[in-house]
Amino acid sequence: MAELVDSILVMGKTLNSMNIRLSNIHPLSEDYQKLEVMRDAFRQRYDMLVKYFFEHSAKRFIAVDGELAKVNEEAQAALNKLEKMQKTLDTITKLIGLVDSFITAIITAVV
Amino acid sequence: MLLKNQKIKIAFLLICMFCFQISCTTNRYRQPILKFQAASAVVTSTARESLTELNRSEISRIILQRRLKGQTIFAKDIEDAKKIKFKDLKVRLDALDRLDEYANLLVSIANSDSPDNIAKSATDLNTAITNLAVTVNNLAGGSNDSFKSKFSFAGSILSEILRAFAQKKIKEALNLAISKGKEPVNELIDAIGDDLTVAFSVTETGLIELRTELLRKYNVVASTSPVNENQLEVLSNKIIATNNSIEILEFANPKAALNQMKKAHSKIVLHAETRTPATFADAVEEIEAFVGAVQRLSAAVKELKNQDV
Repeated sequence: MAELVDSILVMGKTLNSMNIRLSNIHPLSEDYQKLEVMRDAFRQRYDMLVKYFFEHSAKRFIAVDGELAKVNEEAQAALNKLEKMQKTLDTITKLIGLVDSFITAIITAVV
Repeated sequence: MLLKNQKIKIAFLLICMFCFQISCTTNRYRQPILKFQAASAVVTSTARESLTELNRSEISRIILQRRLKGQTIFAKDIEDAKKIKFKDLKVRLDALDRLDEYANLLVSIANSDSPDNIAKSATDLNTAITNLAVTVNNLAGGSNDSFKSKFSFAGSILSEILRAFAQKKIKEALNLAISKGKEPVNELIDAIGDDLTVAFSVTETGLIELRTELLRKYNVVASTSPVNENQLEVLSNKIIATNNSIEILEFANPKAALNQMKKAHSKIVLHAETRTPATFADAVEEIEAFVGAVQRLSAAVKELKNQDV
């Protein structure tokens, strides 16, 4: 992929040089027409290469996205575990409170 | 009896010191990770915008160039101007979302209030147990005061142990996420870097070509008698705006910010693996440099948007 990116960059620079050259020639001259035809042909190839790059580098993103999703899931699970631990403590606390109220109610009724 | 009490007090002090140490190491992460997340959010949003805008700006350029040349425009020309297909764009946007999610999770872990919540729940549990024990003790006709003090002391130790346990788990989760995220995050930064390098080249060549066409049209109008002053004014304003964009574009190149992001992330990983004051200082330094690069990038992107091309 690095070679493809480099090729696009080199072609882009060449295209820029051609355009800068065109900008310095009178548009009604013969040289302008000739260079413009060459520029347009070069632009066509540059565009094709750019499209090829975006289409073929998509699989890199798909692979990395999957790997990172796993990491995120594990990190989220670690956080959830702690929240679960807190909820368990809270549930036990509530249960003990209920038992306490229940015993207190029985003592009060008996006395 | 006195010796036994002192031993318990020393043990309690040691537990508190241990908890404090764990708490400090997790807290130290908070600020740098928050900065890293904020800066990487700017990078991902710039990347998102560059990629989604790429087709739009190419279509606009083609239409403008055709108009300057007095050429016809068909739907096929507009379709051909698109550089990236929708399905390929979506894959990239999903991956950028995942990177944001990763950075947000690091912040969530580093800022988690679970240790405090767990310690509070443990204290509540201890209170409930003490109350129940007192009720049962009353039932048996015992004395309340010594009973209560023993329970509450044990409860405060339990609460501190659970807090330390939660803090240890938080630290482990953070280190795990950082070290496991090392490869995919670096690979993603590289992939985004390549994408943005190509997108940058497309934008640059597009702007230079547009300026060429504007200059061509300007020179044709200027060479035609009588000279149309209004047309020349419109064209010259367009040339100025396009030229400004070309000059600002160099500063809006996200490559520097992405390189700095990779460096900062590598230093965070190194610190998670070795955990020395020196690696921590290095990580903070690289994160600061990353933030600086992102600030420069944001300013250039903002200025670029202000140009009416």
